[in-house]
Amino acid sequence: MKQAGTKHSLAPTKTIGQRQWWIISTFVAVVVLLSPILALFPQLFTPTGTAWKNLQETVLLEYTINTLILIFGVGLCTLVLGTSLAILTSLFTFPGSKFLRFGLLLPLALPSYIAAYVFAGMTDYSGPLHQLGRVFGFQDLHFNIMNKFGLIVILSLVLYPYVFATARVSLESRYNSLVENARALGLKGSALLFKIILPLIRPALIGGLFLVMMEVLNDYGAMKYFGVATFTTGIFSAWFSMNDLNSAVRLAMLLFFAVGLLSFAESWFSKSHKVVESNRSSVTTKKKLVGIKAMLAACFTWSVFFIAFIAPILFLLWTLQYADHERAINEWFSLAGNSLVSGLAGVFAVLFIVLLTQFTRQLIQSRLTAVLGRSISIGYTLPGAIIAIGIILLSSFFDGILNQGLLLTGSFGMLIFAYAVRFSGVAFQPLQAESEKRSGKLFEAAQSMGLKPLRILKNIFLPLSLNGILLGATLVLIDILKELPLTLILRPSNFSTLATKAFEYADDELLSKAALPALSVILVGLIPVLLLHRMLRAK
Amino acid sequence: MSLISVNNICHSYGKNKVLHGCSFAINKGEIVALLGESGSGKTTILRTLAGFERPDSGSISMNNSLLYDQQTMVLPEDRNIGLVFQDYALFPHLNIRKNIELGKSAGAKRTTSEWLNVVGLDGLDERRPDQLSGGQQQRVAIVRALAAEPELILLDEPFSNIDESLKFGFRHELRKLLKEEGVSAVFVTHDTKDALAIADQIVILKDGVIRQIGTPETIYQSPADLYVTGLLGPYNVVAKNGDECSIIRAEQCSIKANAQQKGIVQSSMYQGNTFLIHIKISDQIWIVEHPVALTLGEEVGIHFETNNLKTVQNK
Repeated sequence: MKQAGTKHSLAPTKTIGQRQWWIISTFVAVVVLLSPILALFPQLFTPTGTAWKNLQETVLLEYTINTLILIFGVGLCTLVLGTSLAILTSLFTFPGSKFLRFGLLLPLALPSYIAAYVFAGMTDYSGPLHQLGRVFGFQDLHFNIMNKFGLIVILSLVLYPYVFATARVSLESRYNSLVENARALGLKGSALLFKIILPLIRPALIGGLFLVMMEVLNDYGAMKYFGVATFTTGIFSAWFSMNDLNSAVRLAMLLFFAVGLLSFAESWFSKSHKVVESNRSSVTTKKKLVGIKAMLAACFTWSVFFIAFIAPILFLLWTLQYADHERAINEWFSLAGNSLVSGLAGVFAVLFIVLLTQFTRQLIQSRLTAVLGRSISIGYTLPGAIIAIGIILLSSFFDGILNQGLLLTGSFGMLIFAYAVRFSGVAFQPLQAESEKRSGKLFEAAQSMGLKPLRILKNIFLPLSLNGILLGATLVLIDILKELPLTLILRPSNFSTLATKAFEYADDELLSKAALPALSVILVGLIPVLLLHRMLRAK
Repeated sequence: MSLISVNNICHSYGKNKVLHGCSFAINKGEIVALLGESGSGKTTILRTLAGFERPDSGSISMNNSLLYDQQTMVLPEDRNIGLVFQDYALFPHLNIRKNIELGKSAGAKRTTSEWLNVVGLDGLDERRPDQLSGGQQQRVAIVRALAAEPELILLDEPFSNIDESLKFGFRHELRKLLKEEGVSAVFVTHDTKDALAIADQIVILKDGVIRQIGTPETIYQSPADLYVTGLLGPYNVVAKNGDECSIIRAEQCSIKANAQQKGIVQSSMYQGNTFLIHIKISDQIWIVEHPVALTLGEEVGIHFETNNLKTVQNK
């Protein structure tokens, strides 16, 4: 059959093959990316060892109860804290309320494992609180926060910004006019709060709460430091202390199940409680608080800001004085170097997979490419420990086949692979947002002008995605720099990053040594908070 | 000789069948209008021609070589068919020159500046799309498609974003440009006036079925069925005979005192130069074009020449 057109010489059947090549390579890339998660499932059908039976009889119940107590405890605390702070700063003005709208997001920059040891250190017998107490003559202040309930308070102090941020957006951009309307109708005080405000922002609160609960399930460092045994710490101890991969996998699957249940509940709830969103942004007139009310509001909000953010930073700076500065700085450079190298390698791996899947999705619009494009964010919804166990399974399986010793297990490459699995979803969001902003017809326009896929990639897709790529890369880099559980399990021996070292020193009660890497991690973590603040303002 | 021939194509989105066996041909240098209401399948036909939709069955060929059948699918970039989108789809990150040059092949017959001159956009080549007005953007989009020197150019609702007052000039301009370039074109529209003004052939679509294909004159003078007749203005059914009926157009009726048919005036609707008068005869409402308004309730006679009666399919 003669080819249509005069300028092009490719045979039809061959061009179909060319399209299939994009789909096949994307498919393979996604399957490889998800293989550590998929690898967990067949393990369920392997016979259980006595170790698992033992674990089942002794600690499984404790893991479950502790995990539940933490999820619901932190959930309740962040809900109360985040909602009340959002309502105070969005609907009222009082001294400092404008700054606090931003300032109250800042605790998000504190990784929970750092917050845990900072608060423990602050309230320790030799810590600043006791020292201060002794100055004022209290010799025997006695309180111990190293338990579940202390941990709930600490996690809530660093995680409430999730609820605060979603509630703020909801209150400011969507429902303010409705609240004003209700006021005009004569509703006020608690009637206004319970009948109008809370029901209206409920979907936003659920969204924020879901993020908080996922963070609690993901947490390893804080739980380990406080000695609270949960699924995540259980996975670690099964693997590290008992070298029992079988039990670790089973625990990981239970955690996987819990995550699935939470996601299901979240999506069910947000569907059944959908509030129609209005796109009109309303001009906000906030009510000015005066007198005792203003003072109470300022006291409450400023003390949360001070306790959750300023105090930890001051404490870390205070402990710095006890460090051996020269050694600390030398060590800092090597740790920061390691963090940066692993971070950048992770960013490149993530960008490769995200750009490939998103380009294919736009080039060939079909259900398959759409599903492939979305499925890369599965890893981001899973706790790091699950992914780590999956990676170990895969590495040991292929090491067994290759029979060259531990070639893959504990290698730098597998660590980077794990980062790609965990963080592809982070870069996916901004890229997706970027491509939704522009007309979906651009790819078709380019094709109808005779451009081949690679030229579309170079001339259209990459330049237009640049902002999304940069934002995604920044967020992934920062996430990797802060990341703890994956790095801790999978890093090559003698490879430490700022995050792992901060945790190790803290775990060994060497707080002064932990301070510098911890402060660096917090400083880096401030960047996405600033971005988030800008984004919330833009909305 | 026909450039494109579309044979019996069917298409569906999921369970929703949108094209039921459509066939038509496009001759070299011809401008074809796909006319129909929204949901009639006209844009789907355009997209199957461009190669963005794969029909369920049927075939499409160009210059007697297959673009599509069950075994063949030539990709959009290999078809040499240009497409102008309703929202223009200019690349926002490229200036006008680069927008146009991206698809141009070496040894093109015109330079970019010459192309811009053709549509009166001289000197705007360094501007970005967002610095142009809507009309200017559309011209760039048309020139961008033409600069790739396609054999066929497809235009999706080219007049939908143009002010009513500017449409007349724009229709004329577009037809002139396409004819001068000698390029075949298919454009999609829901506006009968657009189709009558610039098309050589009109393809009328209703619910995924082609109702009639013909020149604007044929469509007006010998409509195939009641739907096509209605697209070109109000009409009255004079008699029904099984699947067929005979009709008379409102503008071919007149009010005459001594006419045999008599009825009561129900309403007079001003439409610019004339009035549309609704007249009730027994239980049927007739529509008659008349130069002046008539009093409600007045009894009038309706007259028409019997040789203006047309027989059309009753559907």
